[in-house]
Amino acid sequence: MRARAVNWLLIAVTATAPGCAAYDQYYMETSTARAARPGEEAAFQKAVALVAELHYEEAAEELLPLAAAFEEAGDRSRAAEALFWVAFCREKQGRTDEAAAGYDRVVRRYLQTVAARQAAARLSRLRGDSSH
Amino acid sequence: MNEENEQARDPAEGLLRRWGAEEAARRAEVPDPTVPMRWIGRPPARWRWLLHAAALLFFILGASLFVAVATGWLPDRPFGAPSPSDDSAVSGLRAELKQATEDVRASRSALEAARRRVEEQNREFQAEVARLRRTFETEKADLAAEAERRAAALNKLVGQEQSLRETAVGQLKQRDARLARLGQDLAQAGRSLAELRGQVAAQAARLQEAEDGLVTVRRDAEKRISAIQAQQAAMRTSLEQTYLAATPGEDALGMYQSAVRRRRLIVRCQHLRAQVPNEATRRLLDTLEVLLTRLELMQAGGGDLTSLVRLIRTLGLTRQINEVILTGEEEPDVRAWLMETQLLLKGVERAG
Repeated sequence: MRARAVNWLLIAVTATAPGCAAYDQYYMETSTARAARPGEEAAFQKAVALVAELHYEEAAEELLPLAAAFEEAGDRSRAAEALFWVAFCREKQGRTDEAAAGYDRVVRRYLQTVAARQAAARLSRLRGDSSH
Repeated sequence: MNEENEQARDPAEGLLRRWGAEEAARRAEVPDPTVPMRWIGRPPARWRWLLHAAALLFFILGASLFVAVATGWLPDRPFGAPSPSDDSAVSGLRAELKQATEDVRASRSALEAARRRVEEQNREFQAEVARLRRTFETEKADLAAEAERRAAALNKLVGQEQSLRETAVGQLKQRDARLARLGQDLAQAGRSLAELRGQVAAQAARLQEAEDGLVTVRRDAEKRISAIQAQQAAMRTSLEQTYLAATPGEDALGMYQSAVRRRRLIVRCQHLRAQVPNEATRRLLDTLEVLLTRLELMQAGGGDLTSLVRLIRTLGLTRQINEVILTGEEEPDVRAWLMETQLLLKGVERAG
């Protein structure tokens, strides 16, 4: 049942990937990016420190609005990194479905980023572990 | 005189004779059943009036006496009674008699009262006797119950004493037997002592030989340890050259990221974490995984490296890694990974 759902999810993701990529290209070309404010950067570093201190729930709560803020500011790399850390927290909390969805979102939405590469690796390991 | 006696005897003799004749005739005659028998000894008819007169006289006399007594017409004293000069004595006697009679009556009353008291006391005595008897029965029953209870307690004590005595006797027997065995063992030990001394001497000789061999083994081990230490020193130098030889600054970041990927530190961390039983070590591995991931995500030109170095120093990770390594409780793979990560973090610190 779970494998079937994953298959349907992959099919859906594959079908929507070209559209997302086109939208991403369109977004990159048309958005009016702004620089991230220093407060957001400091909050991001603090949230990552919370992850290092193993306060996963607090860190995820801090990172989710930061991801939106970075996204809004056009800093895709930081936005991808913030979402990656959210998925990382969910993985460490044992919420593997949410973690896989988060990694997958990073991979699909933020192609060509370091966070997407890391997310793909962790997603692969996560699926490999779950399939075992 | 004789004549008068004979005249007096004659009529009597005549009467006797006539009576004898009549008696003889009566006896000789056969009585006529139709004629009523005459009263024998009955006075003759001519004397009956005399009897009637006497009876009448006595009747009159009796009636007069009755009337006299009833009316009190009789004189104070009867005929032939003592004279009035004797009245005082009679009165005294009467008074004494009366007193005696009263005394007798009082005595009777006293006697009656005494009898009643005696009866009352008798009843009380009977009641007291009954009460005492009941008390006696109760006391007897109580005493019997107490005696039974004490007898039961005594029996119980006797039983306990018997049991204790039997136990003590059993223990004494066991101790005697144990003493006997100990005596035998002591004798046996005494016999074995000489044998043991011989064996000890033989063992001492063998021990000396083993010690001599051990010295040789120890020398070999020291040589091998020296070789291992040299090998480790070379390995450490190589690792330090890998992780610490970079020049400080952002240029070293790419090299450390490459080292993390090449040495697969994150993947190894995840595998090792599943094997570590210690919770503190697991938490340390989790933190180090975050830092290594953070290192991989860094991009040159940003302020991430400074932040990462600050985090390493704030959390005191190198100190924690040293503690885990020095305790030696973890598996060699874990310790090797920790050492490698520690070198990497030191390099990152230098680069920062």
